[in-house]
Order: sequence, then structure tokens, then C-alpha cells
Amino acid sequence: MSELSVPLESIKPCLQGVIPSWVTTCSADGVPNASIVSIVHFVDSERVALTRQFMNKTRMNLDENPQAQVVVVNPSNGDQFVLDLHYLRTESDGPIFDAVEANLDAIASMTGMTGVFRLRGVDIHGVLACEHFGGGTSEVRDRPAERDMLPLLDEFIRRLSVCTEYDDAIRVGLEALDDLFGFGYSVLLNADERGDRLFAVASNGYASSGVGAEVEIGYGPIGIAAQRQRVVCISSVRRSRSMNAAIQDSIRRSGGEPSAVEIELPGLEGADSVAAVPLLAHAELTGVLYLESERAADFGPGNERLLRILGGHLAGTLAVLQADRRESAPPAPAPATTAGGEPLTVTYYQADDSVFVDGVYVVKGVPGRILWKLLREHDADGRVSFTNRELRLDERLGLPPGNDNLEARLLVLRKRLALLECGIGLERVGRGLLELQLGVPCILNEVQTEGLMRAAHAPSDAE
Amino acid sequence: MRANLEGNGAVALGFCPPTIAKAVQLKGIAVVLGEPGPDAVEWVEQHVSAFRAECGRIGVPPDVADRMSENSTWVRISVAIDEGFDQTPGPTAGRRL
Repeated sequence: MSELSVPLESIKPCLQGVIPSWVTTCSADGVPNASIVSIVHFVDSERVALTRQFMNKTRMNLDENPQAQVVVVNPSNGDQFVLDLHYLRTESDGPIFDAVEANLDAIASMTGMTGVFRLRGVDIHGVLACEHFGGGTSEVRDRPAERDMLPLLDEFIRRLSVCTEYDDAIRVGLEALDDLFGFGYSVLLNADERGDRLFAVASNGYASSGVGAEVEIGYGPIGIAAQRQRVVCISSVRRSRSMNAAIQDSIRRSGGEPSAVEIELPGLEGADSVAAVPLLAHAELTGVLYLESERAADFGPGNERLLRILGGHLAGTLAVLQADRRESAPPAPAPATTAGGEPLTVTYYQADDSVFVDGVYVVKGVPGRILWKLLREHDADGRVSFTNRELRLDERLGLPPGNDNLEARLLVLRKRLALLECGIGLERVGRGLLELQLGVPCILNEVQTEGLMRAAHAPSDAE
Repeated sequence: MRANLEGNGAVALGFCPPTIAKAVQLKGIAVVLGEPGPDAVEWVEQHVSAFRAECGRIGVPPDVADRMSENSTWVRISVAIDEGFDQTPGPTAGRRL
């Protein structure tokens, strides 16, 4: 147990990187050096880690004299604490390095600075003393202790446990994050079968849903969380962007070309802290839960463990429901009807499986193939009722065996159609049962490709 | 800190505005060490006021900005500057000014 007069656990808000910290070292012959670091990372009750990025003089001093001092600031109230440090070692791999690197890479990617932030290592320091700086009384106001979260977690799990449908579980889960934990802006993304991207399945709190939006794995907080399978928290997006501007200027002054591409952060304009939580089930990445807040420091080391637990339960629940292949008894076939009115022109492009209705983009990829199949079958015989099972068995849809993501794909398709109000709807009418709803007749137009995707559209042997 | 200054007088001063990530470091020797006079106290008050305004530009409430200097004990130090360094993160970090 730590014997520090101010326990490190009590100043976690200071250790989220919202306000940079000055670290002071001293050479063997007594010359001090002050350097600024972006993050003082909490390791345990007796140790912290400092990023080793640009600080050559700091490194040289620590080699000569392992004593250091760092001042950290609580962003919520301005309280400052001075930590006397003793340098122990530098780690360039392992869990502490990986956690710090994932966060720095996410910031770099989000601000178009990939390759500029090069984390050479993390310096592990023992904390010899931790004192409130500047006199007066410390007013550390941390989040509720983790034990206070137990009733909320209990309720979160209870709400998920009564969900029997995949769609409901997502809606209930995202709403519960808001109701119970105050995470008012959230996006749930599923991992694509190809393993190189994620697609948004649902969101909560935003003006536009963003359903169907894609994020490349390895880029931005969401992509880095997926790639490293680690929770990524950025406590101050605003400061990260100012850091980006300063570094870009530094690159210009050194004669280099600044990065031209800035990857847009999806979602809330003015978000100041974000978290990306990998969803893991059966030891595989199934998606990412992305959270945003307009306040700095809402996400950080103080609630990373909570986020992992929430993500774990959400992932487990969704995996069970996704794997549930039971179907309701099929309804009596609906009589074929002919919708009246001005026909819609539905165009399907083989090149990327995209579907447009009267020139308006609807969806692409697997949901695009599914929609095209349903419309063609309806066009052939007026059929409107379909089952998940027949979609899974249709090899032309290219669903992988096992975890085929079909429920997530159908959810994206149904939400996109509902959002566009384009005259075509798709409703769940029972477990594993779908009904195509057409308000007007459709004219189907397929644009074939001569490109690389041609092989994927060759007629199957069964035809 | 005061004991160190009275020891060898070596000083490293870091400056970083709250609104941007640029930073500089000045190094030198403390040549005068003592209590601040009325002029110095006025400088401090002006600086705290300017710092509060700068913090406000990035959404930091005035009471939070003020707390960073509350209850501080002020010491007047005159420093003979020997060298300055760019401390802005990036490829120019450590470059002599």
C-alpha cells in the first residue's frame, strides 16, 4: 500500500493528459532542465510513467541523475501536485508501453500526425513524494469510486439480459449507457467480415444516426482501439488539436512538409473527450463502442476498467443474440399485390454492391446485395416475405460461415431505408422473418462491372 | 526550490501558453533573489489576469485558472539568461533559440 501523503489514486484526474506537465531533471553537475510532457500515466499506487518522445536532454539527465520532479494539474479545479520521482527504467514494449502507445497513436491518427509521434519508450518512475503544490487545501474531486458503480453495472446487465432481439439489445445498451453512466453520445460499430474496417450499426444522442458509416481499422481512436484491442481514451481532444497545430508548425520550420490529411472525428462537433472500447467475444474483435463527451477528462484512466466491463457485457450479449438462428413460424404468404403510383428507379452497381433509389445512395456492400436480392425476387414473383435462413444459404450474398454479421447487416439496411423514406421498407415481422414493403412499383436497373469485382458476380453453378 | 537557487543559482524556466502547445525553455543563473517589491507584485497581478483570460479562450473557468496561483509564495528572481531552447513537441524540440 502506498505511504504517500497524497495517494496517487486520489489524483487520477491529474493523470489524464488534459493539462501538460512540466518535468524537471538535473545533470550531474547541477544544471536543471525543464521539459513539457503530454501525459503522466498512472501505473499503480507507487509508480507513474512518462512518455519518452522528444526529450533528449531529459533522457541524458536521467542517465546521470535519476531524480526528477513533475507538476501535474487537476483540470477540473486547477489544483496542482508536485511528484518527486526516481527513474527506474525505460520500457519499449509490454502492457504499459502498449497502453500509452495506443493512446498516442489514436491522437496522432485523429489529428493527421501519424508517423510524427514516435514513442521511443515509457520511463517508469517510482514516486517518492506527492504533495499538494502552492499551499491551501487539496480539493480532489474524483468520479464516484468503482464500488459505487456496482449497482449501476448490476442494472446495466439486468437490462441487457432481458433482451431477446439483437436490435433491442443495441438500443437498450446504448440508452442504458446514457441513463446509468451519463455517456450521452455513443456509436456502436461492428467489425466487417474482411477484417479491415468497421461499420456503424447504431448510435445514441446524435442529430444524425451515422448508421452505415465506415471506419478503417488502424486509423483514429476507433480504428486504433480495434487494431490493438485496447480501450483508447483521449481526455482532451481540444488540446490534442492544438498540439497538432504546434507540431505542424514545427515541421514547417524544420523544412518538412506537414501532413495534408486530417482524419475527421466522426460524431459530435465540439467533442473534448472520447473513448473507443473494443468489443471482444470468443477471443475475436466483434466491434467497437465509441463514446464522446463535450467535457474534457470524462474518459481516462479513472474509468477505463468500467468501460472494459461495459464493452465486455455488451459484446457478450450481442454475440449470443447474433448466433441465435431460431425463427418464428412463418406467416401465411401474403397475397401478391401490385403497388400503384409513380415507379421508383432502383439502380444496383456490381462494382461495389451499392444501391441507389432515384439517384439517392442507400447502401453498399453486403446490405446492398441483400436489398438487391429481395427486390429481384419481388420483381420476379411479387414475394414480400423472406427469412434469415434463406439469406444465409444464398451463396451469392457472400456471407461467411459462422459469425456472418447478418443481424447487424440487416439492421443497417433497415435503418438506412427508414431514414431515407424512399418508398422501400424492410421490417422484422418475427424472429428471423422479414417483410419487404413497397409503396410504389420499382424499375430495377443493374449496372454490371467489367472490373476486378466481375468474378464475384459470375452466375453460380446452381443457376 | 529556494535552497537550490541559493546553492548554485542554476535556473531552468519553462514557458507554455495554455492555448497552444508551443513551449520554450530559458536557462541561466539567478543573480538576484529576494522578496518582490510593489512593481513586481503588479507584474504578477497583470500576468495572472492575462493567464486567466487566455485560459478562458479554451473554456477553463476563471476560478480554475486562479487556483493555479492561489496561495503561492512569491519570490523575486532576476536571471541572467545564457541560452534558450524550443520545447515545442516535434522535430524542432531542443533546438537552440
